[in-house]
Amino acid sequence: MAQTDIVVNVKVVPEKISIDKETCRVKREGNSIFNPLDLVAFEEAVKLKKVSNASISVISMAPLKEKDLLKNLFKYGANRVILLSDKNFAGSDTFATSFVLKEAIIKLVHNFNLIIQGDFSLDGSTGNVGGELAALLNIPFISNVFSIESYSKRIIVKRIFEKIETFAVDLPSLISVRREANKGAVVDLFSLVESLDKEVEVYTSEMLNLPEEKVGLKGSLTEVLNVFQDSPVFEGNLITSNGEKTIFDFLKKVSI
Amino acid sequence: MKALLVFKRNNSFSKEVWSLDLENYFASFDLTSRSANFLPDKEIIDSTMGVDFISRIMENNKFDIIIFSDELIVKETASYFAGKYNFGLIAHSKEFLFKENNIIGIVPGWENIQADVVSTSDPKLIILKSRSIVNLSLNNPCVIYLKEPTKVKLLSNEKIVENPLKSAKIIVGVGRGVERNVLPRVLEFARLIGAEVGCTRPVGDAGLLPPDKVIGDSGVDVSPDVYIALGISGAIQHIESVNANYTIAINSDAHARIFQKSNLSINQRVEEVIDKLLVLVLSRL
Repeated sequence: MAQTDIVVNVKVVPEKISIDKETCRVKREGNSIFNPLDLVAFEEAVKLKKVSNASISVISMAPLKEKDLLKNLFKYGANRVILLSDKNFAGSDTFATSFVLKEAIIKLVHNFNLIIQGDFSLDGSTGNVGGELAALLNIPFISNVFSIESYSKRIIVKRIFEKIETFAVDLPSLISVRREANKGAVVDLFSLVESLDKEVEVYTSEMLNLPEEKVGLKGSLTEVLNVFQDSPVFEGNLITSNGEKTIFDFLKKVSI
Repeated sequence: MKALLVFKRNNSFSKEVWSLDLENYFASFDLTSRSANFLPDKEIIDSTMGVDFISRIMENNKFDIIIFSDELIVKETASYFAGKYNFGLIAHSKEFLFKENNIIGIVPGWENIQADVVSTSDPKLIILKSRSIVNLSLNNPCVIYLKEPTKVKLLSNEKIVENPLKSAKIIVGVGRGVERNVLPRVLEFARLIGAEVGCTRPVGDAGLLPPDKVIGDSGVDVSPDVYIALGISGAIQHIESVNANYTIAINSDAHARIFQKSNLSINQRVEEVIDKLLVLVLSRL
């Protein structure tokens, strides 16, 4: 692969969420973490970087307070970390999010050839952004990938769908990865040293020249009417002692 | 309302689809399907071909709603189609409601949080779980001629060894409530009773068990005779992928959702029950 940028989309997710019963809105609690599958995606980018003359640009749409967390990605081997942060981005559905990411990639990462991200996020779990973003960029999209190898102007990817499918995919393209691809990104000693003088780049909606009607709630094509937490009341028979005996008797009865 | 249901093989969708007064048309990605009104002339290998297929169907047909199954190539196509034509896509719905001429998708999220989501575009797009095949015996399908993809080439297709969880008769499921130091005893218990071991996604994400052990939306569906759920809260994404004849749940939280689904509900610490079970099982050997 010639000198090029690999873009890795990394989402910051809360460790825990619950519902505010008064406002019916999601409350984020506890620490923020990187979406685990996006760290798997990042590690795939690092593997490609080691065998080609590529650099890694991380893009994340998150609140400004996550800047310090995102700075850690330099230690894993990121060359650039770009934080897209604006109150107008609040309430974005996957389409509005994909639009913002697309604009950022085109305007800030001129030589991008490959975009890698996790198949889905821990909190949203829709898995929509990959396909929507690829369509907006008019590039091929393959998901559920566990292996990426680069060869000049294309990549060879393997994914599991009924069988193991091996594809040759022209660049630029967008690949989303599944858990099995690798064990996730780790801190690299060389990058750790290099990271000391690197800073996260922060961009607002105005800096990217984004129309207000295309971002946040206004730019969304789906709407959340109601959010609720399912808290069922159990009315059956709960065994609170000697449970092991009840289980053992059952297992004997079914001859296990 | 006119609906286009898009699938590869699994066209059962949810009972809501069949109970509503929709005029349903079926498009299958499998060119040998006998349960479709629309078929491709060649195998659909990637989402751009899938979008080409749907777009050509829509050249002569107007639909109010397009329902995609959650099979990989189909839901990949759904998101690409939504992005290409700026349609609102309700993803990952477990079911939907039809209210005042609008489709409301019920989307499960984290920690048993659920959201009612609508699409504001026309047509509305929704991805629904669809896990089995229904023979519709539709004759004379319309064949749609597709362009060969230019940027993606399928080089090979190799058989995979089927995940043993899929055919296991007894499964021990490990949830976040099983502490790391207890896991070896759980694995030993499973081995002694001849059970396969599965887990919830958080356990897989934490690396306690390999990714192919994950049971749920992001893993496999299972249909054992007996499912022993250890420290599993009962999140929808996991429990809806378990179709067991008999479920035993052990959880120290008396309000765990899993107890709604279990036949035998043990409100005790997993470690305490497993240790005593091991003694009983070993004494029987």
